Amino acid sequence: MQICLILRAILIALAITAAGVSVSSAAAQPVRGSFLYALAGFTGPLRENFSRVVSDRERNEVYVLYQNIVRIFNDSGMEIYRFGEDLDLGQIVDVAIDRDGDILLLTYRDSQSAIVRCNYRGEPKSTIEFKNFPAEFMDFTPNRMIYRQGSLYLASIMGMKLVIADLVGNFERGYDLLPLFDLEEKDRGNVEISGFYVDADGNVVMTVPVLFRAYVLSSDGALTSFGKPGGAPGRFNIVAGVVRDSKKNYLVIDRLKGSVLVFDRNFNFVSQFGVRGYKPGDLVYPNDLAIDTTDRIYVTQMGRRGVSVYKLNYN
Amino acid sequence: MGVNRTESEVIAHNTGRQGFYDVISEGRLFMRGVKFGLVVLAAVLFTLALGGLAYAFHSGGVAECGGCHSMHSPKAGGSFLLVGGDASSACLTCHMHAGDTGPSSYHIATADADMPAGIAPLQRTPGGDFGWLRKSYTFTVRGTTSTEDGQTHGHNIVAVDTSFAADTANTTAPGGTFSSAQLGCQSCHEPHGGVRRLADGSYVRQSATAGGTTNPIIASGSYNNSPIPLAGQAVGGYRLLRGLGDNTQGVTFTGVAIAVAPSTYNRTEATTQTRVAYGATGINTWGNWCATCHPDMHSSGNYVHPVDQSLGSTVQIAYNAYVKTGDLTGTAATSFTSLVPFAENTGDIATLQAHAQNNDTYLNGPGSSDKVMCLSCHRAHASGWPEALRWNMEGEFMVYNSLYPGTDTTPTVPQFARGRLGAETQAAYYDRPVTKFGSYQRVLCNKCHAKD
Repeated sequence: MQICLILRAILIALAITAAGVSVSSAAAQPVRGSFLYALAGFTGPLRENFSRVVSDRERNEVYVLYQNIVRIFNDSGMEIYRFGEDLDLGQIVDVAIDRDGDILLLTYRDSQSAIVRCNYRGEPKSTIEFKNFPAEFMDFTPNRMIYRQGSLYLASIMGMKLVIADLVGNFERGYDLLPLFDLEEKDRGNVEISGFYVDADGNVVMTVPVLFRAYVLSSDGALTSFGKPGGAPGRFNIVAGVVRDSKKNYLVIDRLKGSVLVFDRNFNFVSQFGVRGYKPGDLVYPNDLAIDTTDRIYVTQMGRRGVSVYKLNYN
Repeated sequence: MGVNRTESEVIAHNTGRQGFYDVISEGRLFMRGVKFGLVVLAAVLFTLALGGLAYAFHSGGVAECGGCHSMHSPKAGGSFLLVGGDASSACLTCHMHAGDTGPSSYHIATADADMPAGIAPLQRTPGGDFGWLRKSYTFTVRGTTSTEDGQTHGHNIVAVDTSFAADTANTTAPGGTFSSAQLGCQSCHEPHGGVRRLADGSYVRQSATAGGTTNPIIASGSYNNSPIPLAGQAVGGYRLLRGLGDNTQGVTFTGVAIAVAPSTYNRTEATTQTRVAYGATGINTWGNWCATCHPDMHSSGNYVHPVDQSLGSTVQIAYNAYVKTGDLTGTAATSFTSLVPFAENTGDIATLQAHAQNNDTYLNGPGSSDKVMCLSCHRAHASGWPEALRWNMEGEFMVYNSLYPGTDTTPTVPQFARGRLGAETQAAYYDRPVTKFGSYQRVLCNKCHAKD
């Protein structure tokens, strides 16, 4: 009798959990990605590994950074311009484009970071110096930069710090992510941010592979998170790039699976697409992710696969 | 699903359910209801708890399974549900990351994207950055153009997804028969951490047979702040390296590799050195360990540089006195250089932990019974120089006219620059200022042999 009771209880418990999944999944629209093409130049598709990809949402252009060369692609995925072949600008580690179309380059020279503001041709106009940083952020060494609504969002992926600055480099606010993630100082250097994205509302979305988790830091400083380790659909193996689409879904790259996982705004798992392979549309070791205003996503990969472009479908 | 918000909702839901039984029941029915509710609550919490957090990841042994294996991914392309094309690709899923701007903890290879021409690999781990395998240099000396192929710079692990390919020049391990096509991270590292160190300092392998028992690993044993296991416990062997009869790769590792690293080990040595304290006792020596794949490099019958042998007083005195070319004014208390490390003649972990520092608080040189090892001259992964050597052996000068050789710094002596910029040469020496060396510094064979 007792055993039956316990078994019944476990079955009900599992049913409750499963029901939560199925109900949430049913409520959300299924999302699929249809492969369109790979970003290409006049000599064929890009073959770079692990490039950085950034979408200029104002002009629907896409920027790809690889080995200090910034390539710009038009709305059809064709390369239209490139700059940065030499190291005159320093080592470029990230790119952002402001509202006016100026290109902002996060660069390093002699271990010192700087933001170089360039015109649309990549010609330097000025340098943005960091100013008024509080003592706890004096050692801040950013390697990710996103422009959003007049602010620069800068992240140190291994230093686990986040700074929001204005367009002339003034410190606005900053976060030490270790305590926010309930980690200790000894963990600094053992945990890194992989995916980094800022949505239209100023919410910062980050993935942390060794925690098997994605975090959302809202503009008011509140932190929420989602994700569980595992290989089943909707679980995280090794998470990487993250973006939000026009429906406010979260799209998360899983490197190990070679897939894109979709979660709705309430973090319920919706769908997963992409498989590991070398056919068109397959993914090999995907990493970075960008999205444009028409819900096309851009996925960087290894295996000399360049950048694959998918269109999100919602039916 | 395991999201915070949903978890909270589920827990709240179950709390409410218990209240429902409060209202409708009395006596046994009430108690049964409470019990039932508690069991349900416990079951749900248990289900949710399966997805708990972890961040040390390997922790000296079996890591989070989902970090490497994907149980239900569509179209797994590799073996062992690794999904990736091979084991090394799975390792590099975490151990290589694009976007680094400098040494970054557990990253052991710089991504191609971060290494344009003229920029050296960024990682500074004691084992070296596999990115050097991608750095080929072309240069012309006295009218003859040569290429220093990147694959000469280290162990060419096969990681198909990340474009690391087998060595095309050495189809087997130099001095051995181990196939280069089989070489991967897993050739040396046991990803599940088979070797473990016990409370008494002895080493055992995980029992792989039914009925066997092994002390559980409580944490990594690789670092100067790693815990000392209590009775009944164990810590992982150094860097999850194979040992103690492990023959799963087609070769047999007889001993274990003993060492302790500072807890922060991937760092520039521009101001202070990163000292890994290597140990040696019995057959547990680094030469013996490397000889698993390179036996003829170790055989005493061959005409090769000795390894695993005591330095003796002559070399000890030379090492401790040698500061740089032309300068033999050094002392034993400050003579250590991480460009020429040695193995201490001990397996005592407490001693090695005290010596593994990254702040120059322990720079003592060797005693006469300390030992030369393969790693005295070579890096385990890769280096900026051919044969994974710690310094440039392709010419007589490491430093020329007080400058690191480079096509930009010393254009008149391309044989020393070998196609690199001066900054790349400095990076290969882990960013040491050139003043650490003589103005015309000769190769570091002289650290032990003091002929310059």
